[in-house]
Amino acid sequence: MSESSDKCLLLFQSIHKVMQAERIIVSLGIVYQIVPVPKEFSSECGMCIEIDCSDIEVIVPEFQFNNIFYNKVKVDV
Amino acid sequence: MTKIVDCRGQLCPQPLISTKRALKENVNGEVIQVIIDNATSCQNVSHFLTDNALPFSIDEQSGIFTITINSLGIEFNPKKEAEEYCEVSFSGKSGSYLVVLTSNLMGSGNEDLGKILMKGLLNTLPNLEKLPQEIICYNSAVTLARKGTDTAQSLVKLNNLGVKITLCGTCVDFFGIKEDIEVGTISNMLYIAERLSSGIHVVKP
Repeated sequence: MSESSDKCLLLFQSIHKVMQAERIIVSLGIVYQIVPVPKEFSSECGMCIEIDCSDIEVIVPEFQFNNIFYNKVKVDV
Repeated sequence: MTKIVDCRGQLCPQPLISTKRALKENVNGEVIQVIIDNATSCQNVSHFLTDNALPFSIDEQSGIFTITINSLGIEFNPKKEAEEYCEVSFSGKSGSYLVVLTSNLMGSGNEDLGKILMKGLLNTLPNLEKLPQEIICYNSAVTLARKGTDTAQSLVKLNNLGVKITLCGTCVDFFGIKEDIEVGTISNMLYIAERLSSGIHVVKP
């Protein structure tokens, strides 16, 4: 699989940050999916964002500007 | 004059094929009565007629279903082969339940939260050990199937896994999105009411 099609999960501190991050991603026209946080990361109900790993560099400056902190996890296919 | 199509003793897809043939041959717009002696075939023929916008009524007496079709003045151009409406028994990953979505939001309270929860739900369903047989959408839930939305992509994925997506036709009309539907079969209240009252386990998130 090519690097560009690898999927990454972005995990946030709260659902409010997920919603804020989603608005930014939508405004950038990036394809994404809202998915549940995998059980291995949290047993609580939580949502995270799945995107192509190659899109992260576009997103990072916007997240930094808006004080959105996240953890990135590469999805095993 | 009424044309009788007697399908008693026949199993799917034969009643569908016979109904389709009768409709094609019915150039004079006669009333057609299809007689069927099993509920599954009756449901499949109903689904076929609904999808082709043909008005019909069903009368059931002692397990014999009489479907009366009045196709006068209605053009019959089937979009799919009649045989495709022959529901097979669900197996493998399919569970014995259906999911009803009554809104584009999951739960009530905060709209933004409801939207994101719905996206999460639709992207979680494919990962369940047992998939729903069907997802029925009504009221604003039909907007989830609009072209260009991420929720429609999630529904397409579920559809590709064998989950039937059903949309309330009145609701699609109300929101003016008929030409804008990415996925799903447009159906009517009769079909939806039949499915909800069929005894199948109904999940309303």
